[in-house]
Amino acid sequence: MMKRKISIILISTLLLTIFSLFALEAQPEYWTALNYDIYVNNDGTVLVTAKFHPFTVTGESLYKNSTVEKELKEGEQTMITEILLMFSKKPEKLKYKIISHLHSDDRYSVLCDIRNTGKMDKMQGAYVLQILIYLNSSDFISHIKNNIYKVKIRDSYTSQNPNSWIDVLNVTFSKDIKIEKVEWEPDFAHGPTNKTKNSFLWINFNQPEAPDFYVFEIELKNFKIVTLANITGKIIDAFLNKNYVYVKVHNNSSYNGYLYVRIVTDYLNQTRKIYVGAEKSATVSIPLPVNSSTIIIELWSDSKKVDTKIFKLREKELPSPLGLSYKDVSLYLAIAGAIIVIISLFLKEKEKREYNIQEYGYYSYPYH
Amino acid sequence: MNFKVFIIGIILLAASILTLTYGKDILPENINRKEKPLPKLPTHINIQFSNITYRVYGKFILKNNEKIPLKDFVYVTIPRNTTYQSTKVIYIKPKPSRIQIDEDGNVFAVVEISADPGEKKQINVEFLVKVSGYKIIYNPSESYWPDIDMVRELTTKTNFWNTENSTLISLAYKVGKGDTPLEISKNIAKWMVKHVNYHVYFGRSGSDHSIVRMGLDYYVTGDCVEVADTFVTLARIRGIPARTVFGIYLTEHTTKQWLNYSTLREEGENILDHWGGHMWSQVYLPPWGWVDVELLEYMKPKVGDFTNYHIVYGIEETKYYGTLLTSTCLPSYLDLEYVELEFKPEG
Repeated sequence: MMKRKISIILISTLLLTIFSLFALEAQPEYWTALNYDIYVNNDGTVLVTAKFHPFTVTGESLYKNSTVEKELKEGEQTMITEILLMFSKKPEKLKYKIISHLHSDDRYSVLCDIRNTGKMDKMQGAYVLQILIYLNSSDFISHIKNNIYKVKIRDSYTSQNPNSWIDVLNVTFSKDIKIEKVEWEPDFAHGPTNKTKNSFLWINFNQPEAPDFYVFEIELKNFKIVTLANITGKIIDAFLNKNYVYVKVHNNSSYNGYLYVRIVTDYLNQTRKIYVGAEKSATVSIPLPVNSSTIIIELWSDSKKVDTKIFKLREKELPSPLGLSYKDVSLYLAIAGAIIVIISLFLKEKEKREYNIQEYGYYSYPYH
Repeated sequence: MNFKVFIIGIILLAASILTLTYGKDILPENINRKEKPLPKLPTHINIQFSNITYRVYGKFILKNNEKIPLKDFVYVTIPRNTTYQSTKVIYIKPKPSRIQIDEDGNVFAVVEISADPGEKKQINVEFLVKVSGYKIIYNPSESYWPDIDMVRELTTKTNFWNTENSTLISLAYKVGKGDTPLEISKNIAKWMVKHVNYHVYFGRSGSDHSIVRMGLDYYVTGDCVEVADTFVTLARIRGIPARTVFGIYLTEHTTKQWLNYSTLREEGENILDHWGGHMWSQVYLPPWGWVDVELLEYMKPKVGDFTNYHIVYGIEETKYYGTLLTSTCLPSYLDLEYVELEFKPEG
């Protein structure tokens, strides 16, 4: 139903269960009622309208309270992340657009069972935040068959804190979206209070009643899940040295980022993550505790496979820091050494003359 | 003959011979420079155990400080079952309306409490917790990397583990050298115990704010939470699945720990004398599985060397903002006044 905003602060250290009294003193302790309207468009975008109403434990509204309003506005980015976490475990990977920043709107009202009495109180006015989510970039959507997709909406507040939950969630689908199935998790939570052909309204009086996940199977035509990858790359080379596979990869993109090098063998698959600079190459080593002359090497960026190569592994010396083979480096050093030794023989006379000039002219230090 | 130039030539010739002989040890920066043991699939895993069973008695006193009667849901965290720990709930009074499990598999009881203004209510629990302290006798050549699903899922960024922070990335590559997850984890742990600037921090700063440059080097500033968060971040940057564990650390097998919330402010860091709430890290190291990393016990880098003084309450693994189940008792409207946990070894 509501979120205890200020009073709960994780305690650290060896103080695990302490609620930080220190942070409480200067601020009023308040709660926030959380009401959500979610509209799913047929193009796979979702308009989220979040409505917040702060109040004290005795039920006194703090809407338009200047201190609380300032704090809510300062915390807008956290609110946005919490909304993104309703649609993804990785908010930074989810594509979204802010439609309207947090603002007060007297026209809206918000429902909340303020005193946990089993009765919803209506509070006039709300702080409203509107965000458009692109479902095709969400990891909470999965393809079932044909044009049928499963969409999960998480109560991100409960996920973080068991005594927080969404009070009211109203999910409406565009009229041309066919709804195949509606579920919720855990199954002991309540189902929708009201439902129509294309909308489902949950009114959650308390946390145990409120679902942790709202799950829909819907038909979305012309929709495709995209596997976004921030960086692209390719496999340059792979070779074997003392039962370790060395894989050289290149980051083709103009961003620094992580690539995943995966080796696939009959007995064991392993993956090593590596940070590669933009337009740069890097080499990783992966132990190969099985005899395998041929291995498949995959290169992944996020959840997208960007390159695959099959290598017949050959034993090879590890590269030297100069990118040359050790034999080459040794040869060059030998040539350079020999040349310098020969030159040193011819420098004999010249050196002596210079020394004499110093001796007689202006360099007298050795003799004093 | 110019003797100096002649010597330079001789040095180069000698370097040529040395390169030909020992050149394989001179590797690019991102490849381990040390001679590696040859990898092999494990035949058996060697672990030494030290088992103990604790009877745990918990008392939580809650108070209604409001002027109206309150009906509240109170969440009580139950010590978690793990590979090295199992918990049996003897009782929870009042009887919980539900036992729930969160997304990371943490277990908690939901207890309904009603209290009139000024009234105090008490929740009592008794658990039987079997704990296996353990020490893994590693064969380093048996360490290998997990597969992609686990690496991708459990090495990502969260609010407290910022794997995109360029300073932490540089640091992770500098201090966490190695070819296997075991080697890298040990190297990060070794570096961290030498670079802890410990002080109790009332909050959670996350790895971004825990790493502080002091002089020519970086230090982890904070308490066990900051140390655990930083270790997890560095390990995740290096591609090792990592997570934090929260629970209680006992100074003795038989002990009573307590917290009085009304005197917290005056006590400050002195609460460490009677309270052992703790957080540490775990890394996933095939073939050994999830391995505990304790960096503050005797200030030694203990990777898979885990004493039975640790009681695991829960794990933070996938949640972006972590979890507030780190509190052993979490009321909503009521105020928690006092917590007492008594640990008595069985037998």
